[in-house]
Amino acid sequence: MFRYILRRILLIIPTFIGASIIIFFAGFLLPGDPVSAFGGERELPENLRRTLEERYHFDEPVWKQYGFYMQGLVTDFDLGESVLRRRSVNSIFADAFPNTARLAILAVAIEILIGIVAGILAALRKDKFIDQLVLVTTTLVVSIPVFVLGFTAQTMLGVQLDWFPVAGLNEGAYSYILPAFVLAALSLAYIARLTRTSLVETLRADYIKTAQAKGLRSTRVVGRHGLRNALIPVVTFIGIDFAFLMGGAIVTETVFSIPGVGFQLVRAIGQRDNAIVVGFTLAAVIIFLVISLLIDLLYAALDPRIRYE
Amino acid sequence: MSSTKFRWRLLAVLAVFTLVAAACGDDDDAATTTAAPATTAATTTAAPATTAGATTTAPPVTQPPEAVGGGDLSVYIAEPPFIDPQLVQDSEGFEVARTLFDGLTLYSPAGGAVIPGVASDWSANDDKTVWTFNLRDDVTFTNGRQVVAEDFVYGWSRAADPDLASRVSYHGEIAGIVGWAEINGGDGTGTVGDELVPGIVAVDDTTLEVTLEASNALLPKILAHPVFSPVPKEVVEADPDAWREMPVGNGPYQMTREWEHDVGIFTERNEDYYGELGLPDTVEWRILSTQDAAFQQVQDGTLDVMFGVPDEQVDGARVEFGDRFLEQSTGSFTYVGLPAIAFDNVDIRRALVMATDREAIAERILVGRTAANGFVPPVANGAVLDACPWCRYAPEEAKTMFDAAGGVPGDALTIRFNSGAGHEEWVEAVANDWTRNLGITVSFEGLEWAAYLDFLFGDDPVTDPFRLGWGWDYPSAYNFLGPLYHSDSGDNLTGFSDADLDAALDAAIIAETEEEGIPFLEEAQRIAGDQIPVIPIVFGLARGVHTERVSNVVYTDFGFTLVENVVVGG
Repeated sequence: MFRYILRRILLIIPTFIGASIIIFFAGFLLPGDPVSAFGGERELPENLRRTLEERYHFDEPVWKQYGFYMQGLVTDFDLGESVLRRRSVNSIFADAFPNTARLAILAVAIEILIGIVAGILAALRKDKFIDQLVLVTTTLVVSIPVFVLGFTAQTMLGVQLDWFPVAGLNEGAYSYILPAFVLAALSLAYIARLTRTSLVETLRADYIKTAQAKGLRSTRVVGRHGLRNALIPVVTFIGIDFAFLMGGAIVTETVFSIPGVGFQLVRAIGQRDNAIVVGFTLAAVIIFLVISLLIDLLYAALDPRIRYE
Repeated sequence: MSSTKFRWRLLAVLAVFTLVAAACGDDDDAATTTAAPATTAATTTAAPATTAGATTTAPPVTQPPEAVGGGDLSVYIAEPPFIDPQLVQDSEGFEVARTLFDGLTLYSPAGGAVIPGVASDWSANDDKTVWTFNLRDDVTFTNGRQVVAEDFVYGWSRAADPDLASRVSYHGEIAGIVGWAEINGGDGTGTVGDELVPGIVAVDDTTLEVTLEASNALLPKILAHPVFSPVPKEVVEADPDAWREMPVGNGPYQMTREWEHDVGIFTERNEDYYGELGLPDTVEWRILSTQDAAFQQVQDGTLDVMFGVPDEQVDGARVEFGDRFLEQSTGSFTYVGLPAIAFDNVDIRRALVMATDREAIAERILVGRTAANGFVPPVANGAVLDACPWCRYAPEEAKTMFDAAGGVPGDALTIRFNSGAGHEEWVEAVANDWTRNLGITVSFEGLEWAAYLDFLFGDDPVTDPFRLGWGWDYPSAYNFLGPLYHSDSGDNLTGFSDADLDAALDAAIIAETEEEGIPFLEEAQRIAGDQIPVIPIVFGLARGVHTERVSNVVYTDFGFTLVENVVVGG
C-alpha cells in the first residue's frame, strides 16, 4: 500500500513539471508583454520599463524566468505577482476560487437533484408523456448556448419577475442560485438522459426480473437493484463535471458578474496579464492533480487489486 | 460484483466532493458574513435617512436648499488596478481616489475650472515659475492628523519615484516641476519616496512652494489630478500592503473596510471634512464585470447609478429611463493618425479627410456621438468646433485632390487598430470610404491591445494610418494639442511638425492666465485644421442611467460622477 501511495505521489512530480513548462512557455509566447500592457496608450518611459523588467525578471532569458518562478512556487507556494495590478496572484486566486467553488458545488447539487430525478421518472414512464417531456426539454436546453440562456434568465427572472438578483454578489448566497441553475443546465440535461438510458437498460437485466419474480416491492427493485447499477456512468460523469467546473465557468461567471476563476482568467488574457494566466492555470493543474490523486488513493484503499498491482 | 464496485466509486467521488466542499467551507462562512453588511446596507436604504443634514458639525455648510442628505448610494465601476492616488491610471481609479483625497486644487463641478482645495489661495512670481500655495490649517487626514505641506512633498515625491513605477508620474513632467524628470527618469534607490523632488518645498506647515523649469500658467489645473494628493507618510510606511488596499486620505469620503476586489469599494462620509459634507451617508463603488450586468442591476433597482450604458442598450434606455437617462459629452477624442513620414503631402491628408464620411460613422456606427470637425472636444474651454475646413464629406473633390497630389505608393493603404474594443466597424467604414472614393485598395488590420502597443511604440517606424484616442489629463484645450501635435512631445505619434503650430502652443503655455492663452490655442487649432495632422473622427460621450430613488445625478465633463451631490431617497 505504501509503495503504491509513494509511486502515485512521485508520479505527480513529472506530470506537474511537464504541465508547468507547457503553461509557462505558452504564456511567454503570447504576443505583447505585460510591461507594455501596463503602460497603456502612452509609451512607458524607458527607465520605468527597466525597473519593472528587473523587478519581475523579464530581462532574463525565459528558462531563467521559469527557474525563478518554480523556485518561488516550490519554496513559498508563490504563484507570482500581476504586473498590471501589483497584487500577488495567490491573493487574487484566494479571492476568486471560493466564488467558483460555491458556484460549482451548487451547480453540481442541482444537476444531481434535478437531473437524476428527471432521468428516473423518464425511465420509469418510458415512452409516456413525462418521458417525452424530459426528452424535449433536455434537447431544448442542450441546444441553447449558455450565454443566451444566461442573458434570458437574467432578463426574465432577474429584471422582469424580480425573483433573483440579476448579477453580482451583493445579495450573499442568494446571488448564486440563478447562475448555478444556468451553469447546471447543460450537464443537467445530459445527466437526465444518461440516467434514463442507463436505467432503462438496467431494468431489462435478468437479475431485475429475478428480483421482481421473487416478489420484491417495485421501489426496492428499482432503488436497490436497478438504480445502484444504473448510476455508475452517471456518477463518473458527475465527478468529471465537478472537477471541470472547479476550473472556472467562463461564460456564466462573466454574464452574472461573479468574480471567480474563469472570469479572472478571461480578463487577464484580454489585458495580457500573464502572471494571472500562468498562475491560475497552474493552480487549476495543482487542484486537478490533487483531486485525482485523492480519488486514486481512495480507489486503492477500497479495491485490493489496485494496491497489489 | 459490479454493484460493490459501484459503491466504492460512489464513495470515492462523494469523499472528494465532500473534501473540496469542506475545504472551501471556511471561506464560505467568511464570505457570507462579509456579504452581510452589504445586504443590510441595501435594506436600510429603503428608509431614507434625513438626519445627515443635522450631523454637519465644524465648517459652515452651505448646501443647496432642496438638498437632503443621508442614504446609501451605489455607483457602478469596473475593477480599477489601483486606488492609491499616486498610482490611479484609469477613470475608475480616478473617480474613487477623487472622493478619498483632496489636493491643493480641485476640479469645479463643471470641469473647466479649478476651485481651491487644501490650498486656500495661491500666487506666482512674474514669469510663473515659482508658485506659492497657502494651505488651510483645518484639514485633517481621516486618522485625525492635520494635513501639512510636508505631506504634499512626500506624496508628490512618491509619485515621482521610479521605485513606485507609477504610470501617471508624467503629470509632474507636464507641470515641469524642477527635479521631477531627473528623479523620475533615474534608477531609483529601492525605497519609495526617499528622494524628495527639489522643486517642491514645504516652507512651513501651511506654505508650499513649487518651482517650475518653465512658465506654466496651467499649473493649478494640472495639480487637481489625484496624483498630486497629500499622503500621510507614517501610514504608508507602516504597512504599504495595507495602504494599497485601504488608503487613508483627506477627501469627502473614507473607506470603511479594505477594498473587496471585484466586489466593491465601500466608503462613508468623512464627518470631519473641511468643506461641504457629502450628501449620501455611504457610497458603495460597486464593481461588476460587465456594463450589461450593471445596466440590468439599475433596471432591477439594486444599483443606483451607472455611467457607460452599452451602445446597443442606448435606444431602449432612452425610452425606459426618460429623464433618468443622461448624456454628457466628455473630454475624449478618437482619431486616425497619419504618420508624417508616409503622408508628408498635405493634400493627401486633406483628401483623406474629405473622402471619409465621418457624419455617417458618428451617427450610425458610433451611435449618436458628435463627429469631430476640430481637434478639441466642445467641453474644453477654448475649443474651436469648426477648426477644420477640410472636415466635410466631399468625395469628388477628394478624388481630384488625391490624384493631383500623386496618390499613395502602390495605390494601397492598411489602417491599423486595436481589435476587440469596438473599433472594427468604424475602421472598416473608413476603409470602405477610401476604397470607394479614392479608387485605391484599403484594408484594415486589428491587433490585440498589447501587440498593438508593440506596433505603435516598437523600433520600426509606423507608416500606416492608425487608430488612437486621447483623453485629457487636465481640463484644458492645450492638453488636446500640445501632447499630440507639438514637435517636441513624446506623445506625438504621427511625428507631425509645424513651426507655426509649435509657436502658438508655446505662446499659450506662457500666457499670464489661461484665458489670455486661449487666442493662441484657437490659432493652433486653425493651423491643425488646415494641416490635418490626424483625421478627427468623434468626441467622447458618456451615457448613464439611475434609479428613481436618487436624484441630482451629475456626471462632470471631466468624467466622474459627482457622488457627494447625489440626493438619495428624494
